[in-house]
Amino acid sequence: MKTNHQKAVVVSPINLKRGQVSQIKKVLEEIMGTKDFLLEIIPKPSLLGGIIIQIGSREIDLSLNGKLKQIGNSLNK
Amino acid sequence: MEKLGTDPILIAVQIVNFGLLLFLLKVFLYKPILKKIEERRQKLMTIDKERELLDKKILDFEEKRATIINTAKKERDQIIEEAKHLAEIERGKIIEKANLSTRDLLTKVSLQIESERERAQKEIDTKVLNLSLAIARKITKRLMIGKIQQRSVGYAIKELRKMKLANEN
Repeated sequence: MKTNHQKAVVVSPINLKRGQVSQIKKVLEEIMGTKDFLLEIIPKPSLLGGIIIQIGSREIDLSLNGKLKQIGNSLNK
Repeated sequence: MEKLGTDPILIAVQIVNFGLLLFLLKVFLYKPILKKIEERRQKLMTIDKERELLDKKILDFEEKRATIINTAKKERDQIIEEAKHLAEIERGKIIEKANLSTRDLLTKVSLQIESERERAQKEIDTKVLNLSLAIARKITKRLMIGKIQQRSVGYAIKELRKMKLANEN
């Protein structure tokens, strides 16, 4: 039987600790409303800091790069 | 009479002779001559009359000429005055038009200058901002090592929780 697993991708500048992974997983379970999903951690050193979470087509940018972009956009207005 | 040396018959004959001569002269000389003189006098009178008429005509003509010249002069002056007046009006219109054009041009140029200034200012602001962000990124890159990166992940997770709570509310 084929099951449709949802997938969440977490991009991080460093290798996450176990505790951090479980914290993220817990929050994602509450956001997605299910425990049945695949969590993928991708290390990306160019991120500088923070994390980026991708759930399907939705992206949650909590990275430093993202913050700097937001500052730039608000100053440009 | 003979004692005086005169002959009465001779005198009588002389008188008759003289009379005859007079008569002949009168008929054949004086009358034609006088007639001619009279004709000439009449002719001269006619010429005088004609000359008087001509003089009168010349006077009339001169008067008419003077009147025409006066009228023409008046009309000429009037035309010149009207032309001057019209030229003055046109001059005013041209000056007004030129002034408006100049004002319009100045306004346009001022607006253009202001627009350019704003654009340049925006460009400078953007460049300064981009430069500042680039510097911030570089500095952050140098600073973000080890524990600091760990902390940043921790903050991100806290923010994720806050976001979840905000969505629930």
